[in-house]
Amino acid sequence: MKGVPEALRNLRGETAYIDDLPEPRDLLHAAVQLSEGARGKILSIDPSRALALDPAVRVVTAHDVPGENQIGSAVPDEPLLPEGEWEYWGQPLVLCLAPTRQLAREAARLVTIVSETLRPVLDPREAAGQDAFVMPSRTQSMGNPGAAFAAAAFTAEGRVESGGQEHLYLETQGAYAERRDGDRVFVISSTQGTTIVQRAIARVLGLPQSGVEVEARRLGGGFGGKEDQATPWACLAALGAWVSGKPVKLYLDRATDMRATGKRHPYSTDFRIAADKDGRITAFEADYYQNSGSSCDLSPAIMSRTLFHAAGAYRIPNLRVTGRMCRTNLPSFTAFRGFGAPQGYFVIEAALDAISNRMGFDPVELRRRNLLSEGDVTHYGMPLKEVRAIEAFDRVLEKTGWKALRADIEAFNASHPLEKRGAAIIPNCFGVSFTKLPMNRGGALVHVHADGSVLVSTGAVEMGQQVSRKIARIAAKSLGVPLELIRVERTSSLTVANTVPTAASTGCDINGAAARVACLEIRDRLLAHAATLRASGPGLLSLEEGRLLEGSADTSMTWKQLVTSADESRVDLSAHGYWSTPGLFYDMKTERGSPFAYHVYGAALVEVRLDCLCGRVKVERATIVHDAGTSIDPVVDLCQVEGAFAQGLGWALLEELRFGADGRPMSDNLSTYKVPDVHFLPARLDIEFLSETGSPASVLNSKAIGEPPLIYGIAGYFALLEAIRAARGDRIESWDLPLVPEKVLGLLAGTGRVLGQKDLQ
Amino acid sequence: MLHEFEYARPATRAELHELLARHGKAAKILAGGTDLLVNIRCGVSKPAIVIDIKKVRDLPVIAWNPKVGLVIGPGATINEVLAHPAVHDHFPLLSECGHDLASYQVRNRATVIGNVVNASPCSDMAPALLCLGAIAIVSSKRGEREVPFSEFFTGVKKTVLLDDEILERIVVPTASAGARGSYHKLKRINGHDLGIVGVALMKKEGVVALGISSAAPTPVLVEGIRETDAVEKAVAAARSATSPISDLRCSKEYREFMIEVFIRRLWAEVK
Amino acid sequence: MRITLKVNGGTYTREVEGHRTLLRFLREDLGFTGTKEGCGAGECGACTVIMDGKTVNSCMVLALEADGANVETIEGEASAGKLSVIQEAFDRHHAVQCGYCTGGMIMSVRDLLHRNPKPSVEEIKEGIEGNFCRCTGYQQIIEAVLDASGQLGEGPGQVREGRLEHA
Repeated sequence: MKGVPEALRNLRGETAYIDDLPEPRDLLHAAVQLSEGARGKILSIDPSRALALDPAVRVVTAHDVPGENQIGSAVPDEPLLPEGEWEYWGQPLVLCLAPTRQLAREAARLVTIVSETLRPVLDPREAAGQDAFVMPSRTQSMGNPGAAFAAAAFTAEGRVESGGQEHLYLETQGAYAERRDGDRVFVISSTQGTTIVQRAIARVLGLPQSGVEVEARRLGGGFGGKEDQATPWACLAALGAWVSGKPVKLYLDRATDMRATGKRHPYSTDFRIAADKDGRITAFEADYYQNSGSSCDLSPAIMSRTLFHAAGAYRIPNLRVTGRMCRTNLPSFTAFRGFGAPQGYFVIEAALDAISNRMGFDPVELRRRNLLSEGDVTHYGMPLKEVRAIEAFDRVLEKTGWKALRADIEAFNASHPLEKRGAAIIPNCFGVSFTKLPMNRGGALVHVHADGSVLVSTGAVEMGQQVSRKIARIAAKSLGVPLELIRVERTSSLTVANTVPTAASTGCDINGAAARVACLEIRDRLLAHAATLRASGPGLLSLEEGRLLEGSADTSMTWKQLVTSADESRVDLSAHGYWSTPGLFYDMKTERGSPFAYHVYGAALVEVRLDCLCGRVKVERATIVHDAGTSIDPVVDLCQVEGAFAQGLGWALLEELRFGADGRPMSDNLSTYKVPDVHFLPARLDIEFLSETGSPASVLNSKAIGEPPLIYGIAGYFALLEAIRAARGDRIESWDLPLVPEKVLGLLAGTGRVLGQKDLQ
Repeated sequence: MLHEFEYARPATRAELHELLARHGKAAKILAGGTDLLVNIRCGVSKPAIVIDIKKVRDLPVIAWNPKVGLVIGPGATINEVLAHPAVHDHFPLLSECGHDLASYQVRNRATVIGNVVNASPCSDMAPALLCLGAIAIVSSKRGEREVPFSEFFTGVKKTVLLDDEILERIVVPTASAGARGSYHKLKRINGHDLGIVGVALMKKEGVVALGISSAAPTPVLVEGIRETDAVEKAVAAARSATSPISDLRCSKEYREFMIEVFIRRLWAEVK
Repeated sequence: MRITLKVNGGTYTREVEGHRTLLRFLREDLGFTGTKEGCGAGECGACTVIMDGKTVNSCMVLALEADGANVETIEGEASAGKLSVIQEAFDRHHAVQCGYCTGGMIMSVRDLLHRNPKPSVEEIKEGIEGNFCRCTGYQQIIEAVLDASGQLGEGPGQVREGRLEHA
């Protein structure tokens, strides 16, 4: 009865990711040729050299698309294969099929594409100057910023840059497709959202969605990179299977994946901030230039989250923020853990940094003084409940012994001319729900079998975040059975339709809640059946850990006996559960509403040590206090905090996504793009959860965990900036992330004196 | 995914020389493969034949002979060299450079000779070998010749090796045994990364030598400095011997600055 | 060419092309798919296997080079269905998230503990620095290695409770 839990299969090397599945004899491998040039126009495609390789080679172009050659979900600006112009360096232009992967890749290389190059636009501000946007700009505001700036005791302004970030999920993008029964397709996709893929394939092949079966097995990491960006590969595999009639597998090598797929959006932002003489922020304005890349993709939803998080965890009475989504000739930037919020956070933290400098006010105290508190209303008109920003911040101060730590750092810095320590504290207030309201729903199918075992399938895709484990716990608790009876299966369009991607940290919230709805329904049927058996009222009966209780007394009836009896009495032991997050509303015209189910709070301190002559930094410690609500699984949540923090810290201090002046991708392997390794993380990483409050945030009073802790990595940036300031003896300002060693040295060298012999000795 | 090539596994040195003589440019020697197979994969190298030398029984491995010095054969991996007692006892600088090369599992395959024959400007082993006055012994069907490492590299990815030749062994002379030295390498992460700049400094009997990587088309040896000199002399000599460029990893200026920082630090550290 | 090698104790003889890497050979010809390709360039460590007692990146080894070799992969780590000490520690400490790096990571840990049965934290870091994990912050992995090497006491906060019952 007990299946091998998936994590154990993983430890044994037995988990079958797509590329591990046994290959059918007639499988065709697929490969793509990518564009060489950031913008160009296809004049002709000559497949003859590829076809000459082997009679089994097949070259597939835009002309082979039976349906609509379009996969753009929000805006039709993404042809599956371009017919005329291509929009970025690394865009797939043709698809080749062959019996071996080697041959397919060779064939893809040999297709001759005659093209004309066009001048690309890479800079978002340049694109904005040409009115090249993927969507019209959007502004949120409250109060009267103009008046507040005029009356302010202090003002500061500046420009903030934040770089892109490659997901570097270890499993590259891939898909497997079969044409079945002539008129439908079966696809296994490494996607975070089966329905997105299903819908796109239906469109491309001209099929009803019911003719497209999509399954997502465990992914080797996603982080947002497989939310929309899994779609082209699944569509190409499906197209290959459709035209060839044979099973097709498309699996990208690392360089192709890194060149062709979208990453975190780079932003360039201008801000202005004002404060009164007591250090209360009175106004804030920002103009975000989002580099959206070549297509719309998820850019508007990501900008939406940036705008919602523009004020960070701070109360700002007068505010105006405008987001511009600029179309450029770079890969279509996309979802990445945090989804626009980290970019917004970095700007507001830079603004607080700036105003504290202007005022000569302690940055930690300034931040604390402006934290949100109970009853505050956000700039989009949402009253906040159970606000825990100050509680978390103060707990960090207490845990780290902030005053003593600061004195210790100052003493160290005074006695170490070539080495400096720095620390910073960043608060967190992260809204949970898809910013696109209709997406806030989950689905689940639960079968209780006659032997008592339980199968749960939901829209949540497992990609390492242990959502299956959490949902298993929710199901066990809801049914009142031991955990080992629950099996959570892969996500399939056959079991749950009209799903939303596993994203926005909501995977467990919405799908767990849907599973709970289904489980409670089955439980109620079982209890009703038990009541007839025992001539008792169903209200008196309950199930706990596989035992039927009457009041608090154990009956002799077990779960299995009850289920067997119910099955024989023709009680339906299956249920579909549906959840739609209650209470959400938003008016896009007035930019007012309540777009989030709740907010997650927290705070983090990061401390670094800087080698002033090399610009190298060591992150010495991080102390994180985080609000996980009533955690369904504290260990899983702890692991999520650590992993998210590592990615945030990587974004802030290490990961440098680079393109050439001609738009050429320069970060296309692990040698040219570095992610945190085991040495990068601090030796002292202390994570504490705020106490449970029992407030009904989400399913079983839990709170989402996937994205919010990524914000804490930003503290690493400001900690390093403090160390640089200690070395310089001034309050230099620079908000250009990632803060890599060479930039650090540039800031250190800008002291007006050359770092010369005297410093070096 | 690698392109197709022929694979040969000679059993003797004579067979190896014969193969090299026959195939010349079309052949690539495979020892550890950690550079070669990556180069083949990304299309930088397209050999028609790959000659695996690991089964050649009459090639040297690693040996210490107080009269000759340390002999390193073409199959000797970085980890094997690091584990050799003579390296530990007499050539700590070699250990330090080797230790900084890539990751543990790469060092299990990567060879010292492969690292220098690849002739990357950012070679990790070259700075130590240059400082220690190592000699390259090159062989072919036509015979053997000796080339000091200071003359071995001729350009980016280029060496004095002719198409039919193999770098058969490296001899680190006894005269360098006991030299004090250290190596500083600038990387983006502490673990597996290519060097942005690498500086080795050696001191022995009053003489100082510097080996510098990632600062010129080839790894560079800086000589003619004495322990009694001021460090400025070493810095100036290094500056005139190197010509760093800007690339994906960092700018020319950062490299120049770091070379100076490392020289000054090493000068003070190596007692 | 024909090669014969041992993988996880079993002997295999196969015809193999010169350009086939050990990684592809293990995965595609022998079906040992627990070893993964993460980068194909020896940078990520997901393809780490133990060959003749040494860890190697199998994406940078030709199958022909493994002729006569004894190769161990993640599939050979558990014996008779029973998890090894390392696997149990990884399980106990939740050192697995997406699982893609896990096979290679465990091979590196196994080799490390073979060379150094009681590694310090610094030595653990050095031992796994060639293995990238994008999901965790490596803390659980380090804890698991400390535990597997018998270096974690019973003190509070040292061993995190709970098992991975489900994915």
